[in-house]
Amino acid sequence: MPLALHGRRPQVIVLLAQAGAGALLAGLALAAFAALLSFWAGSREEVLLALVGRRALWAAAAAVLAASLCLEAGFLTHDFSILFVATHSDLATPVPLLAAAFYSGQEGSLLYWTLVLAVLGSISLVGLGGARLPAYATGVLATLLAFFLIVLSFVAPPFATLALAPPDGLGLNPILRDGGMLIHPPFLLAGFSSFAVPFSFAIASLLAGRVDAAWIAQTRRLALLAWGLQSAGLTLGMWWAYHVLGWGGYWGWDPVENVALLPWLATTAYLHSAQVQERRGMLQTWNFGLVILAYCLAVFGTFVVRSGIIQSVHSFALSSIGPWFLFLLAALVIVSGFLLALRAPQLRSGRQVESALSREGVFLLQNLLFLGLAFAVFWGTVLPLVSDLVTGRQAVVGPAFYERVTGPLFLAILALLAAGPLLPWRRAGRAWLRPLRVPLLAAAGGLAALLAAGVRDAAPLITGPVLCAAAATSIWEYVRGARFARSLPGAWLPAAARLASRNRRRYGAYLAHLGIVVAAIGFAGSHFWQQETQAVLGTGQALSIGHYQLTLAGTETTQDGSRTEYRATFLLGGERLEARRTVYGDFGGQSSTLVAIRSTPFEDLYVVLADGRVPGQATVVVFVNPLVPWIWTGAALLILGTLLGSWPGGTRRPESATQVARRSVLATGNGR
Amino acid sequence: MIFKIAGLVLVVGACVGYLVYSATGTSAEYYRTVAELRSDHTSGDARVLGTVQDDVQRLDGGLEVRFTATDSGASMPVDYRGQLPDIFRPGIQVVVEGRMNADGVFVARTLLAKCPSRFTAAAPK
Repeated sequence: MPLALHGRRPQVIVLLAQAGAGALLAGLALAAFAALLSFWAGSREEVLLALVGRRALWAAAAAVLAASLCLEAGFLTHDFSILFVATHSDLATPVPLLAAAFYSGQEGSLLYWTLVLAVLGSISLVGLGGARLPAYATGVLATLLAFFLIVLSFVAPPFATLALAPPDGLGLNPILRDGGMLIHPPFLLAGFSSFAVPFSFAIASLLAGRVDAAWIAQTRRLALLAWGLQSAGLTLGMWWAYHVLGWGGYWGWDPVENVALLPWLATTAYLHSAQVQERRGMLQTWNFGLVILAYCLAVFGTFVVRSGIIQSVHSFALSSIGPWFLFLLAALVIVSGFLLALRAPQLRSGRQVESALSREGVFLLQNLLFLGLAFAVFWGTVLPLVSDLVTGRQAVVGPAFYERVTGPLFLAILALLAAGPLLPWRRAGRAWLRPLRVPLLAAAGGLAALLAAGVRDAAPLITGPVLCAAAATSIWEYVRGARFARSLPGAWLPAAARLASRNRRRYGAYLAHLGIVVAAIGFAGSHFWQQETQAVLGTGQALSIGHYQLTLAGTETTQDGSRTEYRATFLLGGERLEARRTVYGDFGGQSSTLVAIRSTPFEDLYVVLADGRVPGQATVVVFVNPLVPWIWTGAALLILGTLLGSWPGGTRRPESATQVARRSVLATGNGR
Repeated sequence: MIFKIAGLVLVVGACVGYLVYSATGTSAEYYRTVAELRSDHTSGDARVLGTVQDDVQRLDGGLEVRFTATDSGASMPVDYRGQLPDIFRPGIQVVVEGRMNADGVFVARTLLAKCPSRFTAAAPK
């Protein structure tokens, strides 16, 4: 088979690399055209030209898609004349991982990022009516797309070729040869990239200097989409770190993790304050600011990750694209800051927050706390740069810093989560305590339970009751809904289902709140009560941790080419657990672990085979991680709630721009 | 009312500021170079970036490692007890946190491996 292919191969090689690079250039031309035309059409309110601009953006997206397919085809056909394919895969790489290899390096992941921007941006514009706002949004999206296509065409080209194709590639790093690699990076990169879409809509509003309710709803929905993607990406990242890396934790406060959290925090604030805008017409400028901040933070994150300017465990190779992202960041900050200042007087509403003890008062406080969190994380991340500038030496802060700062802030946010949904809009008045009786009772119950269980440390004794109160509030909303459904005539369950589906946003939000609380219980449990022990065991020897007694049943070593696999089997009561470690001779002795995790609803027993390499013995590191499964459950609830809340409602769409334009063209045609 | 909001902003800002300030003071560590540490043993906790050399010794069934870390010409012995990151191998860059003992051995509390994104195989020598 390889022989048969041999004669044809060079031809295919030339085609794929050149077609891909050509598609990127075509996309660049189309995006630049779309940007110029759309801005012009927007300023002149030319509906037809705006539609042409939109079509041009869609064509640019199609070109980016074609380029991506070329790169993926290069991977699938092992086209090692493409440098990126040769350095990120080999003949032995299994097909599913060939898909992952696409985004396993600088150039490919940038192409993937651009693809997400192009596709989501295109979808967000489908069926939008009106001339100015959609045209400006198209213009902003096309400008951003053009920027990425310039970088991809001239600075970090994924289709760079080798003059002489090597017979085999270098292969994917062992640490990435895992199923988690298939899902975690694409979600996180997509999340990062998708913050551009609500950003474009916000900038369009500022450019136009006016907004209507439908436009705000659209921006909010797009922000929710970006937020949902980022939530999924962050969760999958934690899941991957926990299950694959074998250090017993899930979040290390590494700069690369922090910068992924930053836009998520800003958008969480926005999703809440957007409701104040919808309900009471206030905080418009503030909200635009938050959407813009989220995208600036996403670009800042990309700059940090790609430039290697801050020391990180994840650092990408030093590359020439850092300055480009710094330029983009500076341009974004200057342009959007200028626009925001220019339009702020027009966006100001006459209304004021009437009382701190009201729904909008809580939203405001929540916003401040989220921004405070974002600032603290940002500060910790950039401290090496700041201290280097000020003192000439780089100072760094570790997880201890983040835990001390974010712990109290998260706790305050959870307390608001317990109180906020129960307080009325405008002002709560004298009887404000009455609606809070449910969470207060739950908090008292939680405190009593913890004391009865023998917990005496202050931190869990404060955290536990707050979590109970927050959970009670989230569940109470469902109880209230169910009660109301019961009071309606007819069967109870269908009435409840109708109620939930008519108030999707509301019930979706409470489900997401419940997810946050459940995940927070997991974070708190594993933070307060993690246990760890290490030992070197011979066959038959045992170690004990918590209430577990773990006996080494045997070890086994197998050799497969340059790869050595060590296995250790343990007995836990009648159960067998197997932990593995594979050492890759061809990667300079780098190894990868397969952690043995025994999960129960309340804790994980987490067994890692360390790199001992002593025959007949097993060096193990064992953790008991309380409540970690709650994190994954909570995250699943959060995503479910986001889906429920963002599912398009049954309302009829307003007439689309295409229909309007077509009609006006027909009308002119007839009149002539 | 605008004063009430300004008050809220001030209070939250002050709380966050205090938390950040106090936590920075207690947990910030300085990056030092290997050469700096060699010339000044008595400096307390430090974070050092270095490249792992070929002399990695595994002791105590792999729970302890000793190796030489080099950075721009200077080198120092490092002793680390604890679990090694999977990608630890000679030739990679590591960040070690800890302090120099009297014998000039850097005793590391934590060892972080820098994850190379150019996931390339070691070049044949």
